[in-house]
Amino acid sequence: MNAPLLDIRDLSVSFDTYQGRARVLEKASLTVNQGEIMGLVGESGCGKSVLSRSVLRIIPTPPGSIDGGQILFEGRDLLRLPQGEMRRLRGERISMIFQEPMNSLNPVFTVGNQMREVVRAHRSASRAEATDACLEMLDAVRLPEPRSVLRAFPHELSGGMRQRVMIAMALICNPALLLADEPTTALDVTVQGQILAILAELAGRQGLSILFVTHDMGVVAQLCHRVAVMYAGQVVEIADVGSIFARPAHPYTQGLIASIPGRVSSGELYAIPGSVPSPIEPPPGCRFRPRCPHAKGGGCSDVAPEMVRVAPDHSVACHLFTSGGLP
Amino acid sequence: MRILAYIIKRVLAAIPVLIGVSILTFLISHAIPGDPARIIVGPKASKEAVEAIRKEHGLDRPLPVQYVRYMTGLLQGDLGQSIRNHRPVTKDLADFFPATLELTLASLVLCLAVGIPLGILAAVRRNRLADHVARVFSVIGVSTPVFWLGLMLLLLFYRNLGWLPGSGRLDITSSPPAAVTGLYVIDAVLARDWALLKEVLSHLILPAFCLSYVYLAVITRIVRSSMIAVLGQDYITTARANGLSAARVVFKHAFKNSLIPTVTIAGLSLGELLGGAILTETIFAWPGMGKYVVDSINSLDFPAIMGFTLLASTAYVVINLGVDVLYAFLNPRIRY
Amino acid sequence: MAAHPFLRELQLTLKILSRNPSAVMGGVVIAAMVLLAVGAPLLAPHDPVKLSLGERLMAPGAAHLFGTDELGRDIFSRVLFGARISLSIGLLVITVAGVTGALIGATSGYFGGKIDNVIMRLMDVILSFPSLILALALAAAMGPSLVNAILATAFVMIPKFARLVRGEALVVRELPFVAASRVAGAGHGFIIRRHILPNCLNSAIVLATLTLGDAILIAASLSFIGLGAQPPTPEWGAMIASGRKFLMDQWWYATFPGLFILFTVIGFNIFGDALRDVLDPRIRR
Repeated sequence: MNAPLLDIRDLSVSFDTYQGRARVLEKASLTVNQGEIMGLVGESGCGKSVLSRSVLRIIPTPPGSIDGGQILFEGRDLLRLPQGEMRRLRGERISMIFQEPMNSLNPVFTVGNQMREVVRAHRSASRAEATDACLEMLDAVRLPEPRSVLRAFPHELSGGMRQRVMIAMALICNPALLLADEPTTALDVTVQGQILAILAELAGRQGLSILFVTHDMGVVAQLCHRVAVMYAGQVVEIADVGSIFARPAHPYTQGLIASIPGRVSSGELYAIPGSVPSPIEPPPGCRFRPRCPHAKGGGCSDVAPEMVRVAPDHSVACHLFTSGGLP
Repeated sequence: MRILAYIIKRVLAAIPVLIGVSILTFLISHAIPGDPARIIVGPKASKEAVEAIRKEHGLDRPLPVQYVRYMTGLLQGDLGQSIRNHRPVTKDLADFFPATLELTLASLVLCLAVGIPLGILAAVRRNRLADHVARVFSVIGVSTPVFWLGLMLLLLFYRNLGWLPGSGRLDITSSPPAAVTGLYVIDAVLARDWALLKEVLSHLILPAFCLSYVYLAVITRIVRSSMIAVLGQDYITTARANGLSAARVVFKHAFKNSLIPTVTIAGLSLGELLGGAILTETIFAWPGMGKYVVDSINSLDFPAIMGFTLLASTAYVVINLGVDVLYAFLNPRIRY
Repeated sequence: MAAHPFLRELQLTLKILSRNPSAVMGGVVIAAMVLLAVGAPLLAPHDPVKLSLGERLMAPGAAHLFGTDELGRDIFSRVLFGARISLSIGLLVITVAGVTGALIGATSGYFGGKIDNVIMRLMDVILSFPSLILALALAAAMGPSLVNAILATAFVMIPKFARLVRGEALVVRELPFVAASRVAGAGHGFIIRRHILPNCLNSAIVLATLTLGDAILIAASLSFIGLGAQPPTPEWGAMIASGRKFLMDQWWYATFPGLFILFTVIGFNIFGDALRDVLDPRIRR
């Protein structure tokens, strides 16, 4: 099998806050293969957005800092790339779309102004050539009347239209990887479906890989090939989408799946007891231990579990699966 | 078309404010002084003269009647007669207006040319050296008495270093350029008289700097804080994520947004500049309306003082109307 | 040992302030000025108004720290007594403007409707004048004197307080305890006094501190123009005005009073900024 397109290894990121240093990512690792849609799920605040933003190196520093690890993209470590090269990569090879289509476009410039600017930041194109590229891309995300969209200000478009503009803008240079940070969360359910369909179609057609950040397991089931589950700054389970739903290994993943509305035929909706630990003083050992129904003393509270492979395409970080079970 | 509707609305809203301004000015001149008639003729006039004026100006009538009379004159450009030189105040103010306009415009240009880059720098390098320097500089700016700053500048650049002239718009021996705009800088350029232009600028620089300093501090502060707010917005992250250069992100995407709050507050703070002009012109013997009004105070020339007050506040209201219009062009989301 | 809630609040405020370097700096400057002002009779080496024609226009030196003026008066002593005048002017202006503005704003916000509309349009009119220019016209109409300069300065500052208090009053009057109080038969005056005004106290104090500097500057400017304190009162602005005639040869005359204005106003401005950060409930926890 080929080397993965994106290979994040042991990435650690922290933020300075008033209360102290928050370790938002702790040795997080995951891969995205060529042409694959990789889901990244977890509760809000688990670090999934920070992880996707770290790939583009657009987390604000300070207060944030990338403390360690590697982000290999097409074989090169992005964390060691000089500023200028990193800038050229953004929008050209790796693009990103965000949750808030409301605020993600600059309110004082027209859509056309902003889209053409992206084209011309990456290749020399005349205004007319850039406009043609924009029209083509707006058409690809199935926006009606692309010409009038180009002339519009963001506030004149609906949320769904804005998000399509964002997608068009992100894909206009034909990147290899799209980082999608909860792009459908703020949208109506019907619009959500349309956006997902467009993303799936474009990914298939252009051979695009997507790292899809979401907290919605339903979206994962609909769109993704593989899934990484994050909890409190760590990746706790990675598997193909079938295995995650059929045989979730980590107790946290099991809780996530049990709490999807409509999964359980009757009875109350399941909620994982307790709350996410503080990233400033995380519990020692396994970070999920305080909320884990299977937690035992000893190993669970002393040693952080390593990732172990439980099936060909299924890894999990939990002491239930470490060699010889619990110590 | 929505912009047009917005502008019309703003203009209509300014009208009652201007009427209010005229009423307040009227009250200050007619209701506060014990004897407005004496104020008009001056302290040395005879009793009979005072009585005659009272009749002539209808000062024995009820206040509303007096106001109507005052307003009628006002609309015909009549601000009364100066006590010192018996000329219409309107004529005097018109004579002194270009000098004040030149000084305030020069200060404004200086403020914007220095204050905006400084504010941006402070925002981009937040909590680093440049930011701290800018903050100290602007705290001192808003705390400095303008008239004292002017004296200190004179002491340093005129008295001790001898680099710049200390008073007036020109050397005593020179004559002004042919009047086209009344602004000597522009008139000198139009006349292609470069030696004179140099002289005009050397006279302008100290008063313009003095007047701009306080306002500069205000501008720097607003630009800094609105830039900081804008730089935290999602669309800035988008712009960076799309691979735009840092310069484009800051100077195009962030800057235009930060201008929206900046122009509003900058317009409101222009009052500082107008007020400061009075003191600056006095210090530098700048022959403008500000010096005229202080001279009027010293000779208790009340019609002149009130004429200036009315003109300055009307200008202030109109400028802010202009700022509102500018705001509409900067911000495509006017929701009126 | 439960302290009065107001005292506890004050204690907490002081504790947070003491950890804020600019608050400490501003506080020290203000405290120093207050000490100089209060202690002026003890600290001043000379009588501030006593003429000594033999010692006219002496340069700063051992005998006269800041030199002497054209009538041989000791400038250092005059500047110290000037601190009393300028600080009193600032306090008086803020008190008059604050109390009047608060009453106007509370009335406006509490009653709302037409009354509110009329009052706020009036405030808008006052704000349509550049403040120094309006103060100047008022002072000129009332006649040159220190009291009139104080009243004129206070007048132009009223709208700031009125707007602030009105905003808070609009919020407070909707709170349940105000409705309860009204049902219980409390009069309008009682509700304004007991509920509305106390709730505006924090922000009014911040505004007062921040505008104290402005008040001192405007009043000094009026005195400089000749509309405020009259000679021989050792007011800083008036001293600079007299010193101006001697600027070319006796630099010290106008310089020192100005430095004191500068320091005092800086003190109030940075202290006010810090106070705003501390009393802002969003930051306070």
